[in-house]
Amino acid sequence: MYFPHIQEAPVCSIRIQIRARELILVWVESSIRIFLAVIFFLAAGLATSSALAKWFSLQETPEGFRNAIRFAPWNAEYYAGMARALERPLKPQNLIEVIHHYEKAVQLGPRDAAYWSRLGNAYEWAGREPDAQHAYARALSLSPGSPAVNWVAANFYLREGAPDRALELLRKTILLDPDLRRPAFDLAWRAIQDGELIAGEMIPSRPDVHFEYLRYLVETGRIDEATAAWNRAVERGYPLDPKTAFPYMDALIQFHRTNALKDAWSAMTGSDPSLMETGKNDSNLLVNGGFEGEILNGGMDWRMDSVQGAAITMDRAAPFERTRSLEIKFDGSQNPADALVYEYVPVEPNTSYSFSGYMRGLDITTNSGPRFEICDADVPARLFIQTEGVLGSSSWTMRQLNFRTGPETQLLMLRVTRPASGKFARRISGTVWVDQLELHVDEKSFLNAGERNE
Amino acid sequence: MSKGKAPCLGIFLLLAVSVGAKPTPIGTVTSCTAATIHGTSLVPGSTIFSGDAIDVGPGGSAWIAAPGGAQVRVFENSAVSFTSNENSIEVIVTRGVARTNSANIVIRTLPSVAGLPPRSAPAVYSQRKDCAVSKSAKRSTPCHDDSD
Repeated sequence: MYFPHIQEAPVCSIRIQIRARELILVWVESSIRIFLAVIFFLAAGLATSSALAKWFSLQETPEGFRNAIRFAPWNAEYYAGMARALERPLKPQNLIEVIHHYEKAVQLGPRDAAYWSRLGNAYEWAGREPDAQHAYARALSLSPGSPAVNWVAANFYLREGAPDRALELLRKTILLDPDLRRPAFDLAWRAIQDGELIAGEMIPSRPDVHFEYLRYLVETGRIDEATAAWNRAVERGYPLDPKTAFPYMDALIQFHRTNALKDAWSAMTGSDPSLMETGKNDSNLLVNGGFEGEILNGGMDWRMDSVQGAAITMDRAAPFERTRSLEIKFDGSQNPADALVYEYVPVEPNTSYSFSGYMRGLDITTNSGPRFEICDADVPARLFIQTEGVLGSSSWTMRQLNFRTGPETQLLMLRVTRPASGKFARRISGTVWVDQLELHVDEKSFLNAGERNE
Repeated sequence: MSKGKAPCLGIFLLLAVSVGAKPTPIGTVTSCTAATIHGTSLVPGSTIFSGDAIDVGPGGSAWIAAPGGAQVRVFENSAVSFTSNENSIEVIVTRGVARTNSANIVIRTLPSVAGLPPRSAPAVYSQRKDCAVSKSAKRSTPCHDDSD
């Protein structure tokens, strides 16, 4: 028996199922295609608008940023850029718009400290100090390690009359950015003018910062504060190298602070054994009088300026005593009139001194030979004496000067010099050697003066 | 109190007040290039106080914002100093050119400067790239390093 409907029924059902599956597949495929197309167009649109916005923003004009915001209203940077563009030149009528754009920028980018910092600025210009303080505080909380944010906030607190908070932030700024150290020192002095407060609250206990601050004080002529800073460095045991110390010592010389100069020199040489003069006669007031140590070219050691026509070196061939002497070789091309080497020597007023030094010459020409010269470092008219010059060739010969300082003389300048010659054959050639220079208090005259006083 | 002591006391008090007086803030540097303040590089964000003097070198400029939206621009090759009183800010131009957008800021040019033509100062404000705390900036840049 044949029952066709019984066999065809499942076949039909299977066909329907297959057809349905095909339709679903086609639908899914189409949907995916449409979805991808939409995504593609959206992405393309987004990329295009972002590119256009970027392009407009590069104009850096209010109009450019306005267009940038139109194409990319979600980008906080364009609002901040718009506000910045309106700031220069800021017209008073634009201040509200500037604030609005910074507010929008912090709304879209609430974690950007720079936007908050600039918003604080704008609030301050508008006289909204509490809002400004909140904005600066937010910037600091978001970016406590940013030197720029600390710097701007420190300035705000100075303007607001809160120096303690300002100095605390400047201290952080100084540690975070070495480039801002000098501006911070200057700002603090312009605003506060209290050396003790600035040193205590703003200058961190770090030798590099401390000595940079000392240099700033020296360069701005704040000699009392510089001395206080130097003394703190000594107390804290910071390394006192000549490079740091010499500008300070030069300032002490300039400001006639002879005692502080002596203290600074002692502290510097005491802190570095390599600077200690070996074998020095304690009563000799001159530093490195035998030229056995390297010439430091500063402080209370010898100083040399480059003099045309004269070459200054250390000679080990035939010193007067110990191992070295100073050799000055004149090449015959010049008629120098400057000090060849010189040294500052602190002395007591109204005191008698005895100077001695040795010179040797070889083929020295002209009528004006090298010599020793001693003068008051501040006012040469108060004291000026010199030995005879070395001429021709001679063996080691002692030159002596005995003198008494006046009531105002506290610092001498000892020079090995060669005054310019006025003669026809005035160019100097030949070589001179210098050694064993000593300056002592003249005990005999000191005792005589004491006896007279008694 | 004797007649002689009264003026002396007055002068002493006046000196004491002037020595102890805190400088008045005048404004903030919003942007600067090749500028110094008392010989130190000027940095965006710096506060300008009464008595401060700014020097702007060749190719430089400095913008100072004062409260209320007032601004002063100091042009290249210029030197100015700032003073303030109760009602206004005074900018004394000792060299070059300075301009302001506010009636509350008085710009006075020294007679010796006024007689000279301004040295290559542009007549209009230019839009300059910001050198202060920008989004990308990690730190303020001293003005002498400012490249814009």
